[in-house]
Amino acid sequence: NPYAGLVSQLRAAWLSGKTRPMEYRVAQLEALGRFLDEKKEDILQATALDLGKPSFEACFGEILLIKNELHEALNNLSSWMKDEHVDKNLVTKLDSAFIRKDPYGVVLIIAPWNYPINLLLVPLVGAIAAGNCVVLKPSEISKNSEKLLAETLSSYLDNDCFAVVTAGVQETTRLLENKFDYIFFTGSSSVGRIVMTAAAKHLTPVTLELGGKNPCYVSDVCDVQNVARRVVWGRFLNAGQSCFAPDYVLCSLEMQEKLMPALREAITEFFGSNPQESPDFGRIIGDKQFRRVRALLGSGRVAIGGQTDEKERYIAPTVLADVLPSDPAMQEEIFGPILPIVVVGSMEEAIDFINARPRPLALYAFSCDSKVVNQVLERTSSGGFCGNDTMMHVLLTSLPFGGIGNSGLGMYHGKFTFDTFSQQRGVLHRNMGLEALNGPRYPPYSQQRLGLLTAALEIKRRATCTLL
Amino acid sequence: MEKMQQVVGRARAAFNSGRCRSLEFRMQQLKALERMVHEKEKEILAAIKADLHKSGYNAYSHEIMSVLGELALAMEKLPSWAAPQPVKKNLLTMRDEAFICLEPLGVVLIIGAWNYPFTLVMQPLVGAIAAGNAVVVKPSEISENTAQLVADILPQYLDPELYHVVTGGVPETTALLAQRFDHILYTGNSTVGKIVMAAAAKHLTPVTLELGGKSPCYIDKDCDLAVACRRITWGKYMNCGQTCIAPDYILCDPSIQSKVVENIKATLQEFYGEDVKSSPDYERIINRRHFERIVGLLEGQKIAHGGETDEASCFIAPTILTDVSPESKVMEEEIFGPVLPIVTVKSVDEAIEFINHREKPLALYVFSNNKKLIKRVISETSSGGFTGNDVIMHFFLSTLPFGGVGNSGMGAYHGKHSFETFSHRRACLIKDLKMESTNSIRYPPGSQKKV
Repeated sequence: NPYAGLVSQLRAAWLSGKTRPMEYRVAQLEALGRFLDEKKEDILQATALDLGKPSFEACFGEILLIKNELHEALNNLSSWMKDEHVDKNLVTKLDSAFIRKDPYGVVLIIAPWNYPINLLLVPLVGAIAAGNCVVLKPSEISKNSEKLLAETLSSYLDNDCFAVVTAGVQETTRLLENKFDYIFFTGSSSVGRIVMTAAAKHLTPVTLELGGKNPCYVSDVCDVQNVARRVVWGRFLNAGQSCFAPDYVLCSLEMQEKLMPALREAITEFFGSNPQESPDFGRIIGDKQFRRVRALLGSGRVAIGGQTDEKERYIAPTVLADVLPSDPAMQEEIFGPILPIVVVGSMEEAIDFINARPRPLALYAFSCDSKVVNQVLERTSSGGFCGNDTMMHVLLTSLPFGGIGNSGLGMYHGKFTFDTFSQQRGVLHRNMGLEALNGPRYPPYSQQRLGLLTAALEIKRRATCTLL
Repeated sequence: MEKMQQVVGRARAAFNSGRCRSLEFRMQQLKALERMVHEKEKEILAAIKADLHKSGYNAYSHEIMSVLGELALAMEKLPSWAAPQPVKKNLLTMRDEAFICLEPLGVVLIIGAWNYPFTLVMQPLVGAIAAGNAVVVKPSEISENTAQLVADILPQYLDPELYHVVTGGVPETTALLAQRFDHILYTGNSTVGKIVMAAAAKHLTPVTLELGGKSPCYIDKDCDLAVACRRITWGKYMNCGQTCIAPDYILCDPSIQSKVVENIKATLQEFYGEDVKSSPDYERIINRRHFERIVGLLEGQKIAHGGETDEASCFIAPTILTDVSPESKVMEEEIFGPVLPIVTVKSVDEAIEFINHREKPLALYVFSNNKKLIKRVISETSSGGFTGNDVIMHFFLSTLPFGGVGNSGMGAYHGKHSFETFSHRRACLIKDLKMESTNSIRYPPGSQKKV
């Protein structure tokens, strides 16, 4: 196996205990911070070449957000690493009982191409903070970002413990044959299945950040202008190539009519009258993906946009009206700058529509009536939920970011990343003395001993219960 | 296959009805389960006795008490466990509502094991019900009396559409695993654990695997040997050694090996009397296959104590092996029987190296008066759980997560950890539809100033 040597090298480094002391982790995290500062221009350039990513978006999404996570880790590392003491029962009252956060060992992080720096380095922050050695596998599709990471990250991080691997599909399959102690994967559900199947061979725990179609319900009672701007922002960021972007809108026929001019206005406000000339609008990552997304334009009718330019892999910010559930745009995650609107008769119908489909990574509901937002929240299931906005729940690191069902398993961001890459080890440290107290548990058994044991271990219920 | 499809289909339909979302409903079901454990106590103890030759007192303290404890805890804490958790907000979200909602996953599958056949399906079941899920329970067919009993009594007390028991062996379990679940909790061995995870991968189903391995027990020269050996004897020979967190083997200095043997012998006498076979407190091996497997491990070994067997009753006497070679068969697989090998090591460094060269165990034990030494072993090794100066006991503290790592498993449960295992933590952010001006900073056209 072409990667066996690398993995065993990292495993040897892991067994040496090098990555465990807090000082080491801090040093590596600080080095990562220096990478982001010193290579800022290179990052902006690489993502511009890969995705036509506007420098504003790259600064924010591919640098600032990672630095945020870094600072949060550095500020809190010592408290995150501390043993967590737990409540004890009668039998263990005099003992020391706590949960240790142990690193897993050698972990693998596989990132996708849409936020090629962020989706590799944010998990890395948590993996380092938790004390692991890491193999990083950036996406080969975002070629320029992959090259940058492969060529420069090694001059910042300890090469004994951290390695960047460049690999296409075949090589990644071979990489996955090795035993890792944790695998963190961001990408599509179909590849997620392949990763989990490979992990099963070694009993390797996984976190899978996948995708799906994120519904966006817009009720009749709402501030149309604000809805339009927030939806346009979320949908067309990164030219629609975000796993948590609003994928399609559900609303009434009247609302579709009202929304259309508001959407048009917002698009013009953000990208000008010709978005192709706006420095703030991105491009599709590759020819294959461009053709896939373009094919979805034949759904419903093009109400806004619809222009494409194959040479530039440009697809205009597009809104499709009167889209049917059977249309191509409703069969797969769009992952492009196209917003289909599907007309439903009522909130009830919208909820049924959502519940009949695989659980999404994100779910959005817009209404001035908070009861409506709460109804949608309570009667559906999704990775995360944002009421009256799009995307924003992902930017709050105190909220876990992850999917459910087809949209993924596990979660991260902030402390959740640290927890993801740590094993929660239960520790009970008892006294060698006081052996007499153990008497009731030993054979030969008797009714009297059982009574004592029951009293010591059993948790008694309180007399009243406010619920019943 | 069709039958499994039907069962899961019914559970899913019942879950989709939404009735187990209400905390009141879940409390009702938990109360009913508690009633079942009390009212059917005699039958439960009888079934466990038939399966494992376990005395009533033993079965009560090992299996029933822990279930009652989990039930009482869940009923007391459910409102606080299930309540939405507000989170710290940042400048951008200062005026918003930000919280984590604990939501049920859907239909979960619990596959039990035969060694503690009642508690290993019931404890997870308590957590799954408390978290608001529909559940399919598949008790181990090897402990057939308990499996049949659970299949009979559960539907008498719980909502039969939401909670199902499926009995059967490998073909039925395979058919069950082909269905889509929203979480699978499996207790058993690593080989089957891999099969369960591979089946789960097809549906992207999260799993909790409670597996096993060889749990090492290091005895330092500086310790109260009599006390240490008493505690080890209790943990090793309970359930005739068929405990996933039993101390599998001992590591100690050669100079104390014979003292260790002496102390364990004395304790065995105290616990089971002169004639172990006639003690009502000593169990039997579950079946012929495991009996023969364990007897095979004794081949070529130095038997310092015990070694008597009786195939007809699957009896194996409490046995101690000395000067065991690390390469021998008894040191290759999890023993899961009343055979205790002693491997000598010259120092704690050697012990740590020995442990780290093998698969990560479910439990790790160290006996020493030296606190620093214990801390050192903890920080230089890896294991699911750890008890210092005793064995097994970390299992009984429900505030500690109970689970494995590496080959010994993934995920954890007990107490609140069960509730979280069977819940989805859904991030929720609710903003105001007004206040649009504060949003303009993030919209294009972008500028350096805005960043």
